[in-house]
Amino acid sequence: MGVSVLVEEPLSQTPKNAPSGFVGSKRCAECHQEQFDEWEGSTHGKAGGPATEENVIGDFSGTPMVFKDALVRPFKDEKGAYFFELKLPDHDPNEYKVDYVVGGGFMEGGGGQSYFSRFQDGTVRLLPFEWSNRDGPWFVQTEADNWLPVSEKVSIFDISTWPPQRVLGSSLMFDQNCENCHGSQIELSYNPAQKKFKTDFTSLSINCESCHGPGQDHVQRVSANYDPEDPEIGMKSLATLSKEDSVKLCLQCHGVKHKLREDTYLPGMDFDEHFSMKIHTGFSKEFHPDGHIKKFQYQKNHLYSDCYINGSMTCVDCHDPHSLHYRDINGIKLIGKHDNRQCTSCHVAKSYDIEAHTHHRPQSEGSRCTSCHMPFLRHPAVGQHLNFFRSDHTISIPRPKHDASIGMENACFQCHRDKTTDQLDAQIKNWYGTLKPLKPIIKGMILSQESGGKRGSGNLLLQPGFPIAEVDAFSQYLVSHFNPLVRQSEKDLKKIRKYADSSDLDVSALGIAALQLASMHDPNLGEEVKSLMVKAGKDTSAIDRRRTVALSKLGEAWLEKRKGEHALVAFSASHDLDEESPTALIGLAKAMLAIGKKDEAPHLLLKAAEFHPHNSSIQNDIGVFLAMGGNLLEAENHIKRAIAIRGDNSAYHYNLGVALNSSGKSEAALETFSEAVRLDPGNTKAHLSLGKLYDRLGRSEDATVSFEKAYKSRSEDVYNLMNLAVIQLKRNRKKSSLSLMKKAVRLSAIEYGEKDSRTIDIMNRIKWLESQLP
Amino acid sequence: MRFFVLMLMVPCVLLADPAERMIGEMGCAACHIGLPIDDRVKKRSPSLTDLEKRFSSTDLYSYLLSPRPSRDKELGKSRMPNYRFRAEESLALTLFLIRDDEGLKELKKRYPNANEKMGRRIYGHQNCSGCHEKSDNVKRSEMMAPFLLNEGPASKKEWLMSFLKNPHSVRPSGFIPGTGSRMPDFGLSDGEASSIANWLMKKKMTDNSEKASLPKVLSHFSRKKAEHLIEKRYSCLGCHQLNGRGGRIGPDLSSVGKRRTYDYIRGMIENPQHVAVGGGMPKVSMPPKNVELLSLFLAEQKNMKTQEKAVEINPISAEPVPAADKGRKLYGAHCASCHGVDGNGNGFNAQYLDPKPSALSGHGMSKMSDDSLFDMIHGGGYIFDKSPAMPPWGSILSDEEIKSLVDYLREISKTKAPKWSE
Repeated sequence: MGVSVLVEEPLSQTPKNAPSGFVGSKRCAECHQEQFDEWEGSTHGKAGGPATEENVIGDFSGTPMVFKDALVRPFKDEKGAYFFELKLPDHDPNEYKVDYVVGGGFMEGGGGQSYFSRFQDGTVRLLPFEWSNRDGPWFVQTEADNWLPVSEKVSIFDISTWPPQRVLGSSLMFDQNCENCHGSQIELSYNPAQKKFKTDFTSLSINCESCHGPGQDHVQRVSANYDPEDPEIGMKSLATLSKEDSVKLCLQCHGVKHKLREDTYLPGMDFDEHFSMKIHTGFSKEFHPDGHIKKFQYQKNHLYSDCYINGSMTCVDCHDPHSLHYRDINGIKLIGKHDNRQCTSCHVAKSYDIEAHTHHRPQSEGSRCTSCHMPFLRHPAVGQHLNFFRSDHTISIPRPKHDASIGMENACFQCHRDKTTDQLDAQIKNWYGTLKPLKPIIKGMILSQESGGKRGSGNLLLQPGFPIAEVDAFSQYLVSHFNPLVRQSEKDLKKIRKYADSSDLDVSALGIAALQLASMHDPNLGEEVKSLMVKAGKDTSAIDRRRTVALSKLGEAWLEKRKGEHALVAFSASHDLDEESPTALIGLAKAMLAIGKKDEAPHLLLKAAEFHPHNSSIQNDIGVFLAMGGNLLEAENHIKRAIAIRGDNSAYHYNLGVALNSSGKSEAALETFSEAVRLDPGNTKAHLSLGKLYDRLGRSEDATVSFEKAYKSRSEDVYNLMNLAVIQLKRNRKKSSLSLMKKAVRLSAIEYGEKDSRTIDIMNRIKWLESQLP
Repeated sequence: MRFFVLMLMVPCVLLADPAERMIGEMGCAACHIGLPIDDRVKKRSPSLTDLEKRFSSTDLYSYLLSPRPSRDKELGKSRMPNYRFRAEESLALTLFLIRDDEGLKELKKRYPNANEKMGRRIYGHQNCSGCHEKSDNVKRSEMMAPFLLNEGPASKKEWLMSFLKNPHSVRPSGFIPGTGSRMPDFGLSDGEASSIANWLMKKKMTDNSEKASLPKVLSHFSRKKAEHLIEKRYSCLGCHQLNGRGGRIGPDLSSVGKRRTYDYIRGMIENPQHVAVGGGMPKVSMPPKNVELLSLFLAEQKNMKTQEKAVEINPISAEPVPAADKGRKLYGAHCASCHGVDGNGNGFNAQYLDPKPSALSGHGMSKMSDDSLFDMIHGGGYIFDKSPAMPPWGSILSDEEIKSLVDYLREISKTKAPKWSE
């Protein structure tokens, strides 16, 4: 035997399909085994993966889900592959292969599993039949009633993403996407030459590099000839992040963010360049003034919590980032999510005599900090039918009356369901006397809202507070009180300047945007904006992107309020910052249409189209607005371009049909509408248009079929029922027409009220029809 | 090659000192710092949450009185030691651990003083949570056991052996007066006791970081991380200086590696009151990983220059406040060096700190509730997003002491707590 030679192990190969620079968690484990082991058992480690027996928790034994108008049978074939088989009446059965799963039903407040399939166009799409670990067990997400257990009452076309529309990864071409968060390093790209998408990812778990950034450089630096004195190891220490950056790292997935750039974001890139967490929240009204969510924000409301604003609390102060087990502020392991030491490791004074604070027996559920301050709440977007709760990370004080005023389930009520809000409020007052006052800026937002925006807006809304509240209050001020057509008051300007000078990127961007608008009447302000931007230094681009978005959002809000002139100014300012911004250009066109300058719109839209030739969604939007302005031929062209990229999109076909129909090309329109309903039998609008077109062409039989289908795809709809009734009447089927109208009147009475003109109109028609019948 | 590596690894594990293994497995390190730590103790000790599902109150009471006899039946291979609880103490602990029921009626009549509060104190001072899990809101006593890496020169071996075999109170009111903490009886055999005594007699504080899971020589990266923790997360620089920055109350850390051994430094970080009993340094709670990183980092600090240049503080300006009443005395001992004798934020140490210590007066104080003041004194500045240089005093000040400090702060700042917090 010769001398044993140490053979250096070759670097593990980059996992298949991973974006470059990433090595995958297994490679990390070669040196960081302990952290890997903790992570592997965590909900991040088990977040998703291929559809294997080990990962799938849903029932694929073949028992079908019964919808009102379809059967969906989840099953497993003999090779172990998972499928959904869809049976629609008058259609051949269709099989969708399940390639991946996301989720494993881990969450205590209700969890589940979603199923994904690789589609031929290169996207990976959600098959919207989801498994709940608490109830259902199969459920779907609908627009009207939010999340619903599958039942015979639910139409498959009520599902908001049916046919499958929600893609893995993030692309502006899909309205619904998974925000890059349900997997690791997901890269969705479009190749215009092949007209195909490409979806790459390292893994569907949330891996090491999701938080730590790409590892290849690090691996290379510390593997061969590693010099421990080298200051650069190709990896940052996350333990040394500031409070703000640490929370942002988690919120990049645990909160809704606004995409600032079209290209893919991968961990390690400059987050602030790609996303903003706050720039949009005020305009889209994501929060109640006190920070409680209105729709679906995961744990982002932590930005509103006192522990974050006045304390040092980050996510990792309670959640160990590797194991996701619970720990206290000093990093000492705790038992679980209800362990009081999460709170009492800081709030020690409350812990000595816990009963004096909680007024509940020690060790009882009512004596848990989380029971009152972090109750499990349904995200409002989920609706009332499914048990999906998440704990309230605003860490609020229960204020029964206030909570009721924003429609939030009060923590006290969660246990004491026999008590009224007034009783609970009285009890709280009795125990605690005056409660800690709300922060002035929050109070200001509430007062301003209560007065319908009439009360001294500048004083109420432009108060110094904390970043997210400043963004929300300031946006509210801009939308409702700021008039870019006149000179601003010196008093308000002074406050706006303070915002513009904020160290927070979003607050500062909003402030600078407002100064930019105000500079129209005060050239000195233009100079101020310039010098602020010089001061911004390395943040210039991040602020500019935020300004662009803020100004466009402001324009849209003003359009909605029918302030066309205002909107025009905002969109122009946004366009000045980024001449390629499609939102600004399309916005400008919309504003032109709104103020009656029809002729100005087309060239703006065409410009936008030129900048974004391969973005189907922009091409489609442009087509729609061209058509609205009467440029039907151009409209056709652009919608056709959108269809060339995403031929599967029923809405694009419908839009094309409308354009064709308007220019009198009935046959072509007929074909296009038919394609739209073929792609999505639930496209009510397309059925309706098709019906009307048939009706006009004198094909009342076909028209009836289409109206019937429209009716079926959205049964609970007065408009649909009446359409069908009218066509039946035309075909002289008076009885059927009458019964449809009667149904419609009942619905209308519920929906619009008995005295509504629509309801009365239907009643009159019924009377008339009844007089016609023997 | 792989084969050879494996062969070398296995004997390493087998040859680990049996005394050391025993010390780890029994969980000695839960109370005494500087001893080998074994995670299995925590994993093996049953959780004390929902005990009523497993025990009746009377069973628990008698188990606590005498854990040994029933251990085989109840807890498998348990090494639950005997704390020699008196009946009254057992009852109090039972009342704290389990829901009160009829079974305890007679006992409660016999021992009317035993109550849940007493049980909670016993639970804290005997450090039950050193081995058992329980969401408990109990302030853990940080000062319950001596530092043992000095036994060789300090103790007589024969006595140590007999003590281990049959522990008894050396200090009747506990290691720190008033805690009542006691060394429990592990029921060691002669062989076990002698092997542990031998190990303790030989063990000294060394400059050896063999046990550290981090490399012995820190990388530039780890050093930067340690520096960050020292400056931005923990309160070290409130009192100590490192390379010219930080306070002048404690010894200069720039040269600590020249003066002190690794084990000493580690002990001081892990629990200063065990190593320098009665000293002014409070324990700063942190995960074991950080204890290790900071110990290694500080053991590397051998820069004598800064110490040679160190300026001595004028004894007059550094004089504490005369001890008039409790709050004033405590303030003088713990706060005045930074916040100033009158609370103006101008103590002698203030000049070395950035940000400067707050003046304890006016608007800021009247916005804070008494509870918040209490929490900040207890937990330090970091948790309130204030200067991390303000240390967490909770480990060396009792609740009553902190409360009297809060009262004193109200007095010198002439402020009242906000109305809503009353």
